[in-house]
Amino acid sequence: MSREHDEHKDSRGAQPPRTTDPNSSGRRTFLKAGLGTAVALSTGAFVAEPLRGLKDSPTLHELLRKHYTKLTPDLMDQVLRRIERQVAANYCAKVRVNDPKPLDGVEYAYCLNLSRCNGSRRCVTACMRENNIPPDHPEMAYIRVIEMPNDTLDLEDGNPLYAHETIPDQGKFYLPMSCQQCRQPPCTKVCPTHATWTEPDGVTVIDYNWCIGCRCCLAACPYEARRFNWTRPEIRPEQINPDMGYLSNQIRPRGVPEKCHFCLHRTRLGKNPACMEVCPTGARVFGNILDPNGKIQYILKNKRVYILKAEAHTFPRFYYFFEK
Amino acid sequence: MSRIPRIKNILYRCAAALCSALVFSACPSSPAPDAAASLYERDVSAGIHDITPLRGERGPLRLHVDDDAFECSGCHDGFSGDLSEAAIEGEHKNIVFAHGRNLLCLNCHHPENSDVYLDHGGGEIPGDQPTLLCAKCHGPHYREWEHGVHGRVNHFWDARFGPEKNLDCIQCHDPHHPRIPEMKPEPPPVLTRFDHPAKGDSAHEPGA
Repeated sequence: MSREHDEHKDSRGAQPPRTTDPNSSGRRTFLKAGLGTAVALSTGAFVAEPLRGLKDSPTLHELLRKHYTKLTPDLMDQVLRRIERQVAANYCAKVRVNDPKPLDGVEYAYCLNLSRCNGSRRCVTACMRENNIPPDHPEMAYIRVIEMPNDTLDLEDGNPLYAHETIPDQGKFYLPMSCQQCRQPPCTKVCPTHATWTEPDGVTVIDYNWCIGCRCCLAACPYEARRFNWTRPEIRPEQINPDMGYLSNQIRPRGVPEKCHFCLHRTRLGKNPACMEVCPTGARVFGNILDPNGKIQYILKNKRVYILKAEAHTFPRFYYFFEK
Repeated sequence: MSRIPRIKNILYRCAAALCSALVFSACPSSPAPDAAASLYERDVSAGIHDITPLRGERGPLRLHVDDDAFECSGCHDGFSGDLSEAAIEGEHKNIVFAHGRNLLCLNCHHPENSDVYLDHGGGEIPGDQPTLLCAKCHGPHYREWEHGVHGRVNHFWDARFGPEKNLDCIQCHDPHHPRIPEMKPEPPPVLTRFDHPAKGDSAHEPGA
Protein backbone atom coordinates (compact mmCIF):
# COMPACT_ATOMS: atom_id res chain seq x y z
CA MET A 1 0.00 0.00 0.00
CA SER A 2 2.76 2.43 0.93
CA ARG A 3 4.48 1.70 -2.31
CA GLU A 4 1.34 2.55 -4.15
CA HIS A 5 1.30 5.96 -2.41
CA ASP A 6 4.93 6.50 -3.31
CA GLU A 7 4.17 5.80 -6.91
CA HIS A 8 1.42 8.35 -6.69
CA LYS A 9 3.73 10.94 -5.15
CA ASP A 10 6.38 10.33 -7.75
CA SER A 11 3.97 10.78 -10.54
CA ARG A 12 2.73 13.98 -8.88
CA GLY A 13 6.26 15.31 -8.52
CA ALA A 14 7.08 14.75 -12.15
CA GLN A 15 3.91 16.26 -13.57
CA PRO A 16 1.35 18.75 -12.40
CA PRO A 17 -1.59 17.13 -10.70
CA ARG A 18 -4.44 16.22 -12.89
CA THR A 19 -7.83 15.56 -11.53
CA THR A 20 -8.95 13.36 -14.36
CA ASP A 21 -6.64 11.35 -16.50
CA PRO A 22 -8.11 8.63 -18.67
CA ASN A 23 -4.82 6.76 -18.59
CA SER A 24 -4.20 6.96 -14.87
CA SER A 25 -6.65 4.28 -13.84
CA GLY A 26 -5.23 1.96 -16.53
CA ARG A 27 -1.69 2.66 -15.41
CA ARG A 28 -2.58 2.14 -11.79
CA THR A 29 -4.23 -1.15 -12.65
CA PHE A 30 -1.18 -2.10 -14.64
CA LEU A 31 1.13 -1.25 -11.74
CA LYS A 32 -1.05 -3.13 -9.32
CA ALA A 33 -1.14 -6.14 -11.57
CA GLY A 34 2.66 -5.95 -11.88
CA LEU A 35 3.01 -5.68 -8.14
CA GLY A 36 0.67 -8.60 -7.64
CA THR A 37 2.61 -10.69 -10.11
CA ALA A 38 5.89 -9.83 -8.40
CA VAL A 39 4.46 -10.73 -4.98
CA ALA A 40 3.04 -13.94 -6.38
CA LEU A 41 6.36 -14.87 -7.99
CA SER A 42 8.38 -14.07 -4.89
CA THR A 43 5.93 -15.94 -2.66
CA GLY A 44 6.02 -18.88 -5.00
CA ALA A 45 9.81 -18.82 -5.09
CA PHE A 46 9.95 -18.59 -1.29
CA VAL A 47 7.52 -21.40 -0.83
CA ALA A 48 9.12 -23.55 -3.48
CA GLU A 49 12.64 -22.93 -2.18
CA PRO A 50 12.75 -26.23 -0.20
CA LEU A 51 11.48 -28.01 -3.29
CA ARG A 52 14.81 -27.31 -4.97
CA GLY A 53 16.50 -29.35 -2.24
CA LEU A 54 14.17 -32.20 -3.07
CA LYS A 55 16.38 -33.98 -5.55
CA ASP A 56 14.67 -37.30 -5.70
CA SER A 57 10.98 -36.84 -6.05
CA PRO A 58 8.84 -39.92 -6.65
CA THR A 59 8.25 -40.78 -10.24
CA LEU A 60 4.78 -40.72 -11.70
CA HIS A 61 4.82 -44.51 -11.69
CA GLU A 62 5.50 -44.55 -7.99
CA LEU A 63 2.96 -41.89 -7.15
CA LEU A 64 0.33 -43.87 -8.99
CA ARG A 65 1.79 -47.21 -8.05
CA LYS A 66 -0.23 -50.27 -7.24
CA HIS A 67 -0.46 -52.10 -3.96
CA TYR A 68 2.66 -53.94 -2.83
CA THR A 69 1.17 -57.32 -3.63
CA LYS A 70 0.57 -56.26 -7.24
CA LEU A 71 3.88 -54.54 -7.94
CA THR A 72 5.98 -55.82 -10.82
CA PRO A 73 9.66 -56.52 -10.07
CA ASP A 74 10.68 -53.52 -12.18
CA LEU A 75 8.49 -51.09 -10.29
CA MET A 76 9.54 -52.60 -6.97
CA ASP A 77 13.15 -52.10 -7.95
CA GLN A 78 12.48 -48.42 -8.69
CA VAL A 79 10.91 -48.01 -5.27
CA LEU A 80 13.77 -49.75 -3.46
CA ARG A 81 16.44 -47.72 -5.25
CA ARG A 82 14.63 -44.49 -4.48
CA ILE A 83 14.44 -45.40 -0.77
CA GLU A 84 18.18 -46.03 -0.85
CA ARG A 85 18.79 -42.61 -2.39
CA GLN A 86 16.49 -40.96 0.13
CA VAL A 87 18.30 -42.54 3.07
CA ALA A 88 21.58 -41.40 1.55
CA ALA A 89 20.28 -37.86 1.21
CA ASN A 90 18.49 -37.61 4.54
CA TYR A 91 20.63 -39.76 6.82
CA CYS A 92 24.07 -39.64 5.12
CA ALA A 93 24.27 -43.42 5.09
CA LYS A 94 24.83 -45.88 2.29
CA VAL A 95 22.32 -48.68 2.67
CA ARG A 96 20.90 -51.61 0.73
CA VAL A 97 17.15 -52.06 0.67
CA ASN A 98 16.00 -55.50 -0.38
CA ASP A 99 12.66 -57.16 -0.56
CA PRO A 100 13.16 -60.86 0.18
CA LYS A 101 10.13 -62.96 -0.61
CA PRO A 102 8.53 -65.63 1.60
CA LEU A 103 10.11 -69.07 1.45
CA ASP A 104 8.05 -71.99 0.23
CA GLY A 105 6.83 -74.38 2.89
CA VAL A 106 7.81 -72.07 5.71
CA GLU A 107 5.62 -70.64 8.42
CA TYR A 108 7.49 -68.94 11.20
CA ALA A 109 6.77 -69.42 14.86
CA TYR A 110 8.51 -68.32 18.01
CA CYS A 111 8.77 -70.07 21.35
CA LEU A 112 9.99 -68.44 24.51
CA ASN A 113 11.06 -70.23 27.66
CA LEU A 114 9.80 -68.15 30.57
CA SER A 115 11.85 -70.18 33.04
CA ARG A 116 15.03 -69.09 31.29
CA CYS A 117 14.37 -65.42 30.56
CA ASN A 118 16.09 -63.29 33.18
CA GLY A 119 14.82 -59.90 32.07
CA SER A 120 18.14 -58.49 30.92
CA ARG A 121 16.50 -56.68 27.98
CA ARG A 122 19.40 -57.59 25.71
CA CYS A 123 16.83 -58.58 23.10
CA VAL A 124 15.28 -55.13 23.27
CA THR A 125 18.49 -53.28 22.49
CA ALA A 126 19.49 -55.74 19.78
CA CYS A 127 16.07 -55.34 18.19
CA MET A 128 16.40 -51.56 18.23
CA ARG A 129 19.84 -51.71 16.65
CA GLU A 130 18.73 -54.19 14.02
CA ASN A 131 15.56 -52.38 13.09
CA ASN A 132 16.85 -48.81 12.96
CA ILE A 133 14.88 -47.61 15.95
CA PRO A 134 16.42 -44.40 17.33
CA PRO A 135 18.39 -45.36 20.46
CA ASP A 136 17.08 -42.27 22.26
CA HIS A 137 13.52 -43.52 21.96
CA PRO A 138 13.24 -46.73 23.98
CA GLU A 139 9.47 -46.37 23.93
CA MET A 140 9.60 -47.32 20.24
CA ALA A 141 11.17 -50.71 20.99
CA TYR A 142 9.15 -53.57 19.58
CA ILE A 143 9.81 -55.88 22.54
CA ARG A 144 8.51 -55.00 25.95
CA VAL A 145 9.82 -57.16 28.79
CA ILE A 146 7.19 -57.40 31.50
CA GLU A 147 8.19 -58.22 35.05
CA MET A 148 5.54 -60.52 36.50
CA PRO A 149 5.09 -61.80 40.02
CA ASN A 150 5.38 -65.56 40.30
CA ASP A 151 2.23 -67.67 40.16
CA THR A 152 0.23 -65.47 37.81
CA LEU A 153 -0.08 -64.89 34.11
CA ASP A 154 -2.32 -61.84 34.51
CA LEU A 155 -0.63 -59.13 32.48
CA GLU A 156 -2.36 -56.49 34.58
CA ASP A 157 -0.02 -57.43 37.42
CA GLY A 158 3.06 -56.93 35.26
CA ASN A 159 5.45 -54.03 35.20
CA PRO A 160 7.36 -53.22 32.00
CA LEU A 161 9.25 -50.31 33.57
CA TYR A 162 11.38 -52.16 36.11
CA ALA A 163 14.87 -50.74 36.55
CA HIS A 164 16.70 -52.83 39.14
CA GLU A 165 20.41 -52.79 39.70
CA THR A 166 20.53 -56.50 38.95
CA ILE A 167 18.12 -59.00 37.53
CA PRO A 168 16.46 -61.41 38.04
CA ASP A 169 14.53 -60.06 41.01
CA GLN A 170 13.36 -62.42 43.72
CA GLY A 171 9.88 -63.82 43.25
CA LYS A 172 9.51 -62.49 39.71
CA PHE A 173 9.60 -63.87 36.23
CA TYR A 174 10.01 -61.98 32.98
CA LEU A 175 7.74 -62.09 29.97
CA PRO A 176 9.03 -60.44 26.79
CA MET A 177 6.11 -59.40 24.63
CA SER A 178 6.14 -58.19 21.05
CA CYS A 179 3.93 -58.74 18.03
CA GLN A 180 2.39 -62.20 18.38
CA GLN A 181 1.98 -62.68 14.59
CA CYS A 182 -1.62 -63.77 15.00
CA ARG A 183 -3.35 -66.16 12.65
CA GLN A 184 -6.43 -63.96 12.93
CA PRO A 185 -4.89 -60.53 13.38
CA PRO A 186 -7.32 -57.77 14.37
CA CYS A 187 -4.88 -55.11 13.14
CA THR A 188 -5.15 -56.15 9.50
CA LYS A 189 -8.93 -56.34 9.64
CA VAL A 190 -9.31 -52.72 10.70
CA CYS A 191 -6.82 -51.25 8.24
CA PRO A 192 -8.80 -49.09 5.81
CA THR A 193 -6.14 -49.11 3.10
CA HIS A 194 -4.82 -52.70 3.25
CA ALA A 195 -1.46 -51.30 4.25
CA THR A 196 -0.95 -54.16 6.70
CA TRP A 197 -1.53 -57.82 5.91
CA THR A 198 -0.28 -61.29 6.74
CA GLU A 199 2.33 -62.76 4.46
CA PRO A 200 2.24 -66.45 3.38
CA ASP A 201 4.97 -67.24 5.90
CA GLY A 202 2.77 -66.04 8.72
CA VAL A 203 4.29 -62.64 9.42
CA THR A 204 2.03 -59.62 9.59
CA VAL A 205 3.78 -56.80 7.77
CA ILE A 206 3.22 -53.10 7.13
CA ASP A 207 3.80 -51.26 3.87
CA TYR A 208 5.05 -48.03 5.42
CA ASN A 209 4.79 -46.22 2.10
CA TRP A 210 1.16 -47.20 1.62
CA CYS A 211 -0.07 -46.52 5.17
CA ILE A 212 -2.04 -43.33 5.80
CA GLY A 213 -1.34 -43.25 9.53
CA CYS A 214 -4.87 -43.57 10.86
CA ARG A 215 -3.67 -45.66 13.86
CA CYS A 216 -6.70 -47.97 13.83
CA CYS A 217 -4.32 -50.93 14.03
CA LEU A 218 -2.77 -49.59 17.22
CA ALA A 219 -6.17 -49.54 18.82
CA ALA A 220 -7.09 -52.97 17.51
CA CYS A 221 -4.04 -54.87 18.75
CA PRO A 222 -4.79 -56.68 22.02
CA TYR A 223 -1.05 -56.92 22.77
CA GLU A 224 -0.18 -53.24 22.29
CA ALA A 225 2.50 -54.44 19.93
CA ARG A 226 2.46 -51.52 17.53
CA ARG A 227 4.35 -48.26 17.92
CA PHE A 228 3.61 -45.05 16.08
CA ASN A 229 6.16 -42.64 14.62
CA TRP A 230 4.94 -39.34 15.97
CA THR A 231 8.15 -37.71 14.78
CA ARG A 232 10.66 -38.38 12.07
CA PRO A 233 13.16 -40.96 13.37
CA GLU A 234 16.50 -39.34 14.16
CA ILE A 235 19.37 -41.77 13.75
CA ARG A 236 23.05 -41.05 13.33
CA PRO A 237 24.68 -42.68 10.29
CA GLU A 238 26.87 -44.96 12.38
CA GLN A 239 23.78 -46.26 14.17
CA ILE A 240 22.00 -47.26 10.99
CA ASN A 241 21.83 -50.90 10.04
CA PRO A 242 22.51 -50.73 6.28
CA ASP A 243 20.99 -54.15 5.66
CA MET A 244 17.36 -53.19 5.15
CA GLY A 245 14.16 -54.82 4.04
CA TYR A 246 11.26 -52.99 2.46
CA LEU A 247 8.65 -54.59 4.71
CA SER A 248 10.84 -54.75 7.77
CA ASN A 249 13.57 -52.40 8.92
CA GLN A 250 13.79 -49.64 6.36
CA ILE A 251 13.80 -46.31 8.16
CA ARG A 252 10.17 -45.49 8.68
CA PRO A 253 8.74 -42.13 7.66
CA ARG A 254 6.92 -39.99 10.17
CA GLY A 255 3.28 -40.87 10.70
CA VAL A 256 3.24 -44.64 10.24
CA PRO A 257 3.09 -47.50 12.73
CA GLU A 258 5.72 -50.18 13.09
CA LYS A 259 6.08 -53.44 14.96
CA CYS A 260 7.98 -56.69 15.22
CA HIS A 261 8.22 -58.50 11.87
CA PHE A 262 10.34 -61.48 12.97
CA CYS A 263 13.33 -59.72 11.35
CA LEU A 264 12.08 -60.60 7.86
CA HIS A 265 15.18 -59.27 6.13
CA ARG A 266 17.18 -61.81 8.17
CA THR A 267 14.85 -64.76 8.59
CA ARG A 268 13.91 -64.98 4.93
CA LEU A 269 17.61 -65.43 4.27
CA GLY A 270 17.77 -68.24 6.82
CA LYS A 271 19.26 -66.22 9.64
CA ASN A 272 17.94 -66.03 13.18
CA PRO A 273 16.11 -62.94 14.40
CA ALA A 274 18.34 -60.44 16.18
CA CYS A 275 16.67 -60.92 19.57
CA MET A 276 17.47 -64.61 19.50
CA GLU A 277 21.07 -64.05 18.45
CA VAL A 278 21.88 -62.06 21.58
CA CYS A 279 19.71 -63.72 24.24
CA PRO A 280 22.19 -64.40 27.06
CA THR A 281 20.19 -67.28 28.51
CA GLY A 282 18.98 -68.96 25.35
CA ALA A 283 15.33 -68.47 26.23
CA ARG A 284 14.26 -67.89 22.65
CA VAL A 285 13.61 -70.53 20.01
CA PHE A 286 12.72 -69.60 16.45
CA GLY A 287 11.90 -71.84 13.55
CA ASN A 288 9.57 -73.23 10.95
CA ILE A 289 6.39 -74.61 12.46
CA LEU A 290 5.75 -76.72 9.32
CA ASP A 291 8.98 -78.65 9.75
CA PRO A 292 7.92 -81.90 11.50
CA ASN A 293 11.41 -82.42 12.92
CA GLY A 294 12.00 -78.78 13.77
CA LYS A 295 12.53 -77.13 17.11
CA ILE A 296 9.10 -75.58 17.20
CA GLN A 297 7.37 -78.91 16.69
CA TYR A 298 9.59 -80.43 19.38
CA ILE A 299 8.48 -77.81 21.86
CA LEU A 300 4.82 -78.03 20.89
CA LYS A 301 4.93 -81.79 21.35
CA ASN A 302 6.96 -81.92 24.55
CA LYS A 303 6.15 -78.76 26.49
CA ARG A 304 3.01 -77.24 27.84
CA VAL A 305 2.83 -74.05 25.83
CA TYR A 306 0.77 -70.93 26.52
CA ILE A 307 -0.48 -68.23 24.24
CA LEU A 308 -1.23 -64.76 25.51
CA LYS A 309 -4.80 -63.52 25.73
CA ALA A 310 -6.32 -66.65 24.24
CA GLU A 311 -9.74 -65.09 24.87
CA ALA A 312 -9.03 -62.56 22.12
CA HIS A 313 -9.20 -65.39 19.54
CA THR A 314 -6.17 -64.15 17.70
CA PHE A 315 -4.38 -67.54 17.58
CA PRO A 316 -0.84 -66.25 17.93
CA ARG A 317 2.26 -67.81 16.43
CA PHE A 318 4.17 -66.89 19.55
CA TYR A 319 4.27 -69.54 22.27
CA TYR A 320 5.44 -69.30 25.86
CA PHE A 321 6.36 -72.20 28.07
CA PHE A 322 7.75 -72.96 31.49
CA GLU A 323 10.19 -75.69 32.32
CA LYS A 324 11.58 -77.32 35.40
CA MET B 1 -11.16 -2.17 -7.37
CA SER B 2 -11.27 -3.50 -3.85
CA ARG B 3 -12.69 -6.86 -4.88
CA ILE B 4 -9.94 -7.92 -7.23
CA PRO B 5 -7.02 -7.83 -4.73
CA ARG B 6 -9.10 -9.73 -2.22
CA ILE B 7 -9.78 -12.48 -4.72
CA LYS B 8 -6.13 -12.44 -5.71
CA ASN B 9 -5.17 -12.59 -2.04
CA ILE B 10 -7.37 -15.60 -1.51
CA LEU B 11 -5.88 -17.24 -4.60
CA TYR B 12 -2.34 -16.54 -3.43
CA ARG B 13 -3.09 -17.90 0.00
CA CYS B 14 -4.53 -21.05 -1.46
CA ALA B 15 -1.51 -21.44 -3.71
CA ALA B 16 0.86 -20.86 -0.81
CA ALA B 17 -0.99 -23.34 1.37
CA LEU B 18 -0.93 -25.88 -1.43
CA CYS B 19 2.77 -25.36 -2.01
CA SER B 20 3.66 -25.56 1.66
CA ALA B 21 1.55 -28.67 2.10
CA LEU B 22 3.35 -30.21 -0.83
CA VAL B 23 6.74 -29.15 0.46
CA PHE B 24 6.30 -30.21 4.07
CA SER B 25 4.82 -33.54 3.20
CA ALA B 26 7.59 -34.35 0.77
CA CYS B 27 10.66 -32.70 2.21
CA PRO B 28 12.41 -33.72 5.42
CA SER B 29 12.82 -31.15 8.16
CA SER B 30 16.60 -31.26 8.24
CA PRO B 31 18.71 -29.93 5.38
CA ALA B 32 19.65 -32.57 2.88
CA PRO B 33 23.40 -33.05 2.62
CA ASP B 34 24.48 -33.05 -0.99
CA ALA B 35 28.04 -34.40 -1.01
CA ALA B 36 27.92 -38.07 -1.95
CA ALA B 37 31.44 -38.43 -0.62
CA SER B 38 30.23 -37.83 2.93
CA LEU B 39 28.09 -40.96 2.85
CA TYR B 40 28.74 -43.20 5.79
CA GLU B 41 29.27 -46.79 4.79
CA ARG B 42 29.07 -49.28 7.60
CA ASP B 43 30.66 -52.68 7.29
CA VAL B 44 28.21 -55.22 8.66
CA SER B 45 29.82 -58.34 7.25
CA ALA B 46 30.68 -59.41 10.78
CA GLY B 47 27.19 -58.64 12.03
CA ILE B 48 26.16 -55.64 14.09
CA HIS B 49 25.37 -57.55 17.28
CA ASP B 50 27.68 -58.71 19.99
CA ILE B 51 26.87 -62.42 20.12
CA THR B 52 29.72 -63.36 22.43
CA PRO B 53 28.38 -65.96 24.85
CA LEU B 54 28.19 -65.08 28.52
CA ARG B 55 31.53 -66.75 29.25
CA GLY B 56 33.08 -66.17 25.86
CA GLU B 57 34.66 -68.78 23.66
CA ARG B 58 35.90 -71.71 25.72
CA GLY B 59 38.80 -73.85 24.62
CA PRO B 60 39.89 -77.19 26.03
CA LEU B 61 40.40 -77.76 29.74
CA ARG B 62 42.90 -75.21 31.04
CA LEU B 63 43.65 -73.12 34.10
CA HIS B 64 43.04 -69.47 33.16
CA VAL B 65 45.10 -66.92 35.09
CA ASP B 66 45.24 -63.33 33.81
CA ASP B 67 44.74 -64.18 30.13
CA ASP B 68 47.22 -67.03 30.38
CA ALA B 69 46.11 -70.63 30.01
CA PHE B 70 48.01 -73.46 31.65
CA GLU B 71 47.63 -77.15 30.96
CA CYS B 72 46.55 -79.08 34.01
CA SER B 73 49.19 -81.73 33.45
CA GLY B 74 51.82 -79.02 33.88
CA CYS B 75 51.26 -79.22 37.63
CA HIS B 76 49.20 -82.35 38.21
CA ASP B 77 50.29 -85.80 37.33
CA GLY B 78 46.90 -87.14 38.32
CA PHE B 79 45.26 -86.24 41.61
CA SER B 80 45.84 -87.69 45.04
CA GLY B 81 45.20 -86.94 48.68
CA ASP B 82 42.20 -85.01 50.09
CA LEU B 83 39.83 -84.24 47.23
CA SER B 84 37.11 -82.30 49.01
CA GLU B 85 36.40 -78.60 48.73
CA ALA B 86 38.70 -77.83 51.67
CA ALA B 87 41.65 -79.07 49.65
CA ILE B 88 41.39 -76.19 47.18
CA GLU B 89 44.24 -73.81 47.83
CA GLY B 90 46.78 -71.90 45.81
CA GLU B 91 45.90 -71.43 42.16
CA HIS B 92 42.38 -72.76 42.54
CA LYS B 93 41.30 -70.71 45.54
CA ASN B 94 39.16 -68.40 43.40
CA ILE B 95 36.84 -71.16 42.35
CA VAL B 96 33.34 -70.70 43.73
CA PHE B 97 31.53 -73.95 44.38
CA ALA B 98 27.78 -73.96 44.00
CA HIS B 99 26.88 -76.95 41.91
CA GLY B 100 24.33 -78.55 44.18
CA ARG B 101 25.68 -81.68 45.80
CA ASN B 102 28.27 -82.13 43.10
CA LEU B 103 31.23 -80.71 45.02
CA LEU B 104 33.99 -83.27 44.66
CA CYS B 105 36.72 -82.58 42.08
CA LEU B 106 36.91 -86.19 40.96
CA ASN B 107 33.22 -86.30 40.16
CA CYS B 108 34.22 -84.60 36.91
CA HIS B 109 38.02 -84.46 36.66
CA HIS B 110 39.88 -87.61 35.81
CA PRO B 111 41.99 -88.96 38.70
CA GLU B 112 44.90 -90.10 36.58
CA ASN B 113 44.90 -87.95 33.44
CA SER B 114 44.32 -84.36 34.57
CA ASP B 115 43.79 -83.04 31.01
CA VAL B 116 40.55 -84.94 30.45
CA TYR B 117 37.21 -85.41 32.17
CA LEU B 118 35.96 -88.51 33.88
CA ASP B 119 33.38 -90.66 32.15
CA HIS B 120 31.21 -93.33 33.73
CA GLY B 121 33.21 -96.43 34.62
CA GLY B 122 36.53 -94.59 34.72
CA GLY B 123 36.63 -93.77 31.03
CA GLU B 124 37.98 -90.50 29.61
CA ILE B 125 36.06 -87.61 28.04
CA PRO B 126 38.29 -85.35 25.91
CA GLY B 127 39.06 -82.00 27.52
CA ASP B 128 37.51 -80.10 24.59
CA GLN B 129 34.13 -81.87 24.84
CA PRO B 130 32.77 -80.85 28.22
CA THR B 131 29.22 -81.17 26.92
CA LEU B 132 29.53 -84.94 27.09
CA LEU B 133 30.59 -84.58 30.71
CA CYS B 134 27.50 -82.54 31.60
CA ALA B 135 25.35 -85.09 29.80
CA LYS B 136 26.36 -87.68 32.40
CA CYS B 137 23.92 -86.16 34.88
CA HIS B 138 21.80 -83.74 32.84
CA GLY B 139 20.33 -86.14 30.33
CA PRO B 140 17.06 -84.34 29.59
CA HIS B 141 18.84 -81.01 29.15
CA TYR B 142 21.39 -82.65 26.90
CA ARG B 143 18.61 -84.10 24.77
CA GLU B 144 16.99 -80.71 24.42
CA TRP B 145 20.33 -79.10 23.70
CA GLU B 146 20.79 -81.57 20.86
CA HIS B 147 17.39 -80.51 19.51
CA GLY B 148 18.43 -76.86 19.76
CA VAL B 149 15.79 -76.16 22.37
CA HIS B 150 18.02 -75.67 25.40
CA GLY B 151 20.60 -72.92 25.21
CA ARG B 152 21.20 -70.32 22.60
CA VAL B 153 21.51 -71.28 18.95
CA ASN B 154 23.28 -68.79 16.73
CA HIS B 155 23.51 -67.90 13.05
CA PHE B 156 20.96 -69.83 10.95
CA TRP B 157 17.57 -71.31 11.73
CA ASP B 158 17.48 -73.07 8.37
CA ALA B 159 20.26 -75.53 7.53
CA ARG B 160 19.70 -74.93 3.80
CA PHE B 161 21.20 -71.47 4.17
CA GLY B 162 24.00 -72.11 6.60
CA PRO B 163 25.12 -73.91 9.71
CA GLU B 164 23.62 -73.25 13.10
CA LYS B 165 25.78 -73.16 16.17
CA ASN B 166 24.68 -74.60 19.47
CA LEU B 167 26.69 -73.02 22.24
CA ASP B 168 28.47 -75.45 24.54
CA CYS B 169 27.23 -75.75 28.13
CA ILE B 170 30.27 -74.01 29.58
CA GLN B 171 29.94 -71.03 27.26
CA CYS B 172 27.00 -69.93 29.39
CA HIS B 173 27.36 -71.91 32.62
CA ASP B 174 30.40 -71.96 34.87
CA PRO B 175 30.68 -75.65 35.73
CA HIS B 176 31.66 -74.89 39.31
CA HIS B 177 28.65 -72.62 39.90
CA PRO B 178 26.31 -73.17 36.96
CA ARG B 179 23.57 -70.68 37.75
CA ILE B 180 23.53 -67.80 35.24
CA PRO B 181 24.92 -64.79 37.12
CA GLU B 182 22.85 -61.73 37.90
CA MET B 183 23.15 -58.94 35.35
CA LYS B 184 22.32 -55.32 35.00
CA PRO B 185 19.26 -54.88 32.78
CA GLU B 186 19.21 -52.51 29.83
CA PRO B 187 17.27 -49.27 30.43
CA PRO B 188 13.47 -49.48 30.57
CA PRO B 189 11.16 -47.86 28.05
CA VAL B 190 9.57 -44.56 29.00
CA LEU B 191 5.90 -44.40 29.73
CA THR B 192 3.86 -43.27 26.76
CA ARG B 193 0.27 -42.31 26.78
CA PHE B 194 -0.64 -45.71 25.41
CA ASP B 195 0.88 -47.52 28.36
CA HIS B 196 -1.11 -48.30 31.43
CA PRO B 197 0.51 -47.87 34.82
CA ALA B 198 1.18 -51.14 36.56
CA LYS B 199 -0.96 -52.24 39.46
CA GLY B 200 0.62 -51.19 42.74
CA ASP B 201 2.47 -48.33 41.07
CA SER B 202 2.15 -45.84 43.93
CA ALA B 203 2.46 -42.79 41.70
CA HIS B 204 -0.84 -43.68 40.09
CA GLU B 205 -2.77 -44.81 43.14
CA PRO B 206 -5.49 -42.44 44.30
CA GLY B 207 -4.25 -40.21 47.09
CA ALA B 208 -0.60 -40.78 46.32
